[in-house]
Amino acid sequence: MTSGGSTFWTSGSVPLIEPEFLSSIIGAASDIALVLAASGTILSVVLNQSDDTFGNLRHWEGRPVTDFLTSESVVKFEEAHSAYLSGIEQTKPLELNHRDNAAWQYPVRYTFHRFGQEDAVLLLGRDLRPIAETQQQLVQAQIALEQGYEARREFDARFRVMLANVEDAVVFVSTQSGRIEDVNETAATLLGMRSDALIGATFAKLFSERAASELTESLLNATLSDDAQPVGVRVSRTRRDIEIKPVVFRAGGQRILMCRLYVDRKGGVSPDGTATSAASLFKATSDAVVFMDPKGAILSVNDAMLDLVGGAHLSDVVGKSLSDYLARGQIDLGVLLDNAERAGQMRSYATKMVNALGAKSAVEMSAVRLEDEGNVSVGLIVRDVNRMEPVRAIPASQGAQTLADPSRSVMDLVGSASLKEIVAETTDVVEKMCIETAVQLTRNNRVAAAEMLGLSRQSLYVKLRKYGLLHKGG
Amino acid sequence: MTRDDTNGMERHDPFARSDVDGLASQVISVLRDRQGPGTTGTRQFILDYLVRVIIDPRQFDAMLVLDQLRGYRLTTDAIIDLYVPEAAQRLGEDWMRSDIDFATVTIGALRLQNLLSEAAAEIPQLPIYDATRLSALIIVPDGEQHFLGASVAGAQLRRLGCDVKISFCETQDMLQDRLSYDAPDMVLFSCARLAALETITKTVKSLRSSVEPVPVLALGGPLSGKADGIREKTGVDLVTNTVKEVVAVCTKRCKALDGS
Repeated sequence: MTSGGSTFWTSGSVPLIEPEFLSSIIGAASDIALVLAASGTILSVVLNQSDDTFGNLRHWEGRPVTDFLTSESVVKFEEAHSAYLSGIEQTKPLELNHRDNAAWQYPVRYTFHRFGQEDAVLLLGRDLRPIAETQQQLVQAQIALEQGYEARREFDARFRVMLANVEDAVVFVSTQSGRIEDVNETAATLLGMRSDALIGATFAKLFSERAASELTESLLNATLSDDAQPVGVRVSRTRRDIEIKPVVFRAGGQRILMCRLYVDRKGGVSPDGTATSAASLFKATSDAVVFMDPKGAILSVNDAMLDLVGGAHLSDVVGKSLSDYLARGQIDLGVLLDNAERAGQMRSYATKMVNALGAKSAVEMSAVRLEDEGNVSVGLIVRDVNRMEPVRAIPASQGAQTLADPSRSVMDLVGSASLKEIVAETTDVVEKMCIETAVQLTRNNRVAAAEMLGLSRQSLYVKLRKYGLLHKGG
Repeated sequence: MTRDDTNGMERHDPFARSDVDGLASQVISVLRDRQGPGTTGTRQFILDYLVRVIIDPRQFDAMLVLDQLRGYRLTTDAIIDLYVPEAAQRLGEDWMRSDIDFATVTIGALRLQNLLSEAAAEIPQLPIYDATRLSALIIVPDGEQHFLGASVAGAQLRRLGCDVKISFCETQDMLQDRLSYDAPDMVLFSCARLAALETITKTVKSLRSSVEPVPVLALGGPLSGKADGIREKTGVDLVTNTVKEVVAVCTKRCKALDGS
């Protein structure tokens, strides 16, 4: 277009260019120019005379341009050339990649121009090699980055394996935020939470009566001298006293504390070795043992309990309410806690426990209230009834001398009344016993008792009236 | 809609019919605009959005884009398996139509790489010391510039539970060292250009003569569907763009080796 806005040069303003000058002007106006016949054969190649980086392309002349294009550019060129031949105006520049005997490749941006000869085309090209070089640098930088990610992934794998397999309980804490950056399973178990839940949590909040800034300060002070004592804390969830041995280091511009946690064994050793034996019993017994806080949140369990509820790790269970594993949930828990609180212990309570997969197992449990230096907790021993029944069946068949012989009682009954009457009477006795027990266990909470017995409140009232229990206190 | 109450005062009904109708129309309109999945399983308007942001000359924030994609209820799997490869293909098609220049294609591909890395970082890590996991080495041959496909394959293999390493443009000697040291169960070559086939053929030949047992050798990439006789020419066991296929062959091979 001219400066006047016209696409035509007015008469007289057209520079009359002699043929011997035309090629150099075209070469200078573009970087490379190709004149193509309608067949796609290169009639002539014009290069910018001030740039010899293209080398000698004289051998291109007389050969199809597609011989000097990469495969994807051949398709692209053929489509654009066909459109040009059918008279469609090419408005978008065409980027093509040239190749020459596979020795080198370079991109050129071409525009199509008619110049008066029918179906022949003048392609004016801009050399894109400077951009391609920048592109190459970008790609190389990205490859270096990707290689770096690969190396980091490998390093990360080593770190994870080490953290998972060391016996030490390790926690990484940011001094700036006081939050946990990383933690291993051993530490998570000691802290009574899952490791994924711990990441991002404020470290100090895991301990009783420790402010974040004060704890961080204590830990930093403990790193300053070689003979500094470990920092003692009590874990809120498990009520265990532990010691923290910190090491401070800098990473990524921030100070990080690597804290190794140790169980404080000072208070746990008794002169007669009872504590050691108790710990061994807790670990090895086939009965499930649970310690929970006065609200029913689990503080610690043994392996037998983990088996019973289908937990893989201690951290799966610790911190949860025991009611999550009881078939009657809060009602069962209420009975256990109330009785432990009121009488100090509950000798026997039968219910069902639900494992992680929803399967129920009948259990018997006893509860006891524990108090240690002002810390109140409740201990439970849980016995899987299904495992006990075969054991109980043996003395029942062998030891008639110690237990009342049930067959003898039946002999006394049969003949005294009709079968229907005996069954009805038996049902009434069983019903009354169960209702009395439920009322007693729930301390006369009729709603909870009805729930425990699987009855509606109305049905419970009818039965209470029937058995004369309506006005009896729990 | 409003209605008079008993005190003669007008009050606004929160469930007025016209409001509900308006909301319903709006919802239907939004749903209509959200076209269903295309033949590749991608939804067109999401793909359009992704291509738009990766070629946008302004700043690109992979995490923001990832959040946006999640907002469209896309899973990490869908982003890695469908949207990143589809967007990369769209870049190529746009270049073929001269709608974008090659510099934009490069920037777009690098941004997709960035997005992929962020998405893949969220793949949960399986136990790393499990000896039963299959190990894979993905090789981007020396001189190859296209490595987005290799990264996609890597993320897919990791999701399948494999331990994956990617070798970017390493020399033949470096590769040889790596192969004898790592002893992978499978080696996957990523190939976008015919020129890379020669390097791959050399590596395969050297592998077959020096590593025992020879890992499963597979070749994938844009070229795998186009050129004939690649398998015979390069000596790989299979030519495919589906990593599951390679894992299946590898699992079969490992079982056979264990049984022998």
